[in-house]
Order: sequence, then structure tokens, then C-alpha cells
Amino acid sequence: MDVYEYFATRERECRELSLVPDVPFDDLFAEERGSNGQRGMMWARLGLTERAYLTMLETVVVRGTGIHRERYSYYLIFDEEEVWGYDRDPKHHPEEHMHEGTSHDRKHSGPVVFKDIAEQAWERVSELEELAREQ
Amino acid sequence: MEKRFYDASTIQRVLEDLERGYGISSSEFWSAHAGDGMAIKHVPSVHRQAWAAFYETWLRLSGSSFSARIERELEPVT
Repeated sequence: MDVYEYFATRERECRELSLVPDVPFDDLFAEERGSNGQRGMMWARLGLTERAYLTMLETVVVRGTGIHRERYSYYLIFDEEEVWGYDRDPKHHPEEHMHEGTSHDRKHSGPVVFKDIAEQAWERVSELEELAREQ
Repeated sequence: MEKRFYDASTIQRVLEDLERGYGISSSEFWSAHAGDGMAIKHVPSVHRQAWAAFYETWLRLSGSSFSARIERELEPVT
């Protein structure tokens, strides 16, 4: 197992979920130099619609036969405003939490997986686009 | 997949951009992020998380977290 297997899985998930990065997929992922493929990071803005995108940040390390996300951060942005965000941040309590809107208040979320977050983002964006059309 | 790499110097460039953009040093950001957040209330959550991830990585890669821990543990007893 190395970070490239994980990166490839994430690229496939993004394609399946119609999430479009603003740069080539290869530029979203990086290996830590000298880690022999055992550590890496990803940072991306993944487009959903013209008005919405999902940010994706992870710092990862290989543990045994799997990947551990030391940190993650996924934020849904609509018209350049934060709609919600999910974090794993060891500096905060609870470590795994979410934010609603632009508030910095933290609500316990438990661990989340990227695919579920992306699906949730699509649902929310559909609602926001519908609301925008009605106005 | 074409390989990309990062190290302490590439991470430092990201930190310098954030420092210029928000007008505070990364160490000031780090203290505020771990504390009440008042000094960084102008920084959106999404940028806070990115800044924290990059700074934490930079500390580890530059050896600063190693020396900071030793300084803490060897603090003279008064």
C-alpha cells in the first residue's frame, strides 16, 4: 500500500461523483519527499456547479495495509460563502466536528468519509440552486 | 499518475502566502487556532484548516516540532 493507491481511489470517486477539479487530477495530490510513498497530502477545489464547489484537504499516512487521515477538511462553498464544513483537527475538541454556515462553532460529527460528504454536497447544492431559481 | 512532491520549502511558500494575506505569522495563527480564535476571527474556517494542516506539516518537516518538544521538556526547574 502506498499513497498513490489511495490517491487513485479518490480520483475515481471524484469522477464517479461528477466532481470537477480546477486543475488536472495529478496536481491535487502530492507525496511527502523522502517518505517512500508513505505520506502525502491532497488539496482541491472540486466544482459541482458554476456557483458551488467542495474543498478537499487531507494529510495522510500509510498504517499497516491501510491509510490513516491525520487531518481532513471538506467544505461546501456556494457563491463564495461557506455552507458547511467537516473537519478532523487534532488541535480541537471534539476532534471530528462540523461547522454550519460561516460560524466557527463546532458540533460533534464523528468521523466522516469523503464519498458521503460529496453526496451530501450534491443534495444541498440542488436545494440551494432551486431556492436561487425561485427568487 | 504523475508524481508530485512536497517538502519543507514548498510548504513554506504556502505559509508565506497565508501570512501575507491575513497579516499574521504562522506561529501567531497556530496559537490562536489552538486557543479562543479571537486573533483569527477574520480567517474563514476553510482557510484555518488548510493553514493548520500546512503549518503542522512544516513544523514536522523542518524539525521545529522536535526542537520545540525538547525545549519544553528541558525547561529549567525554578
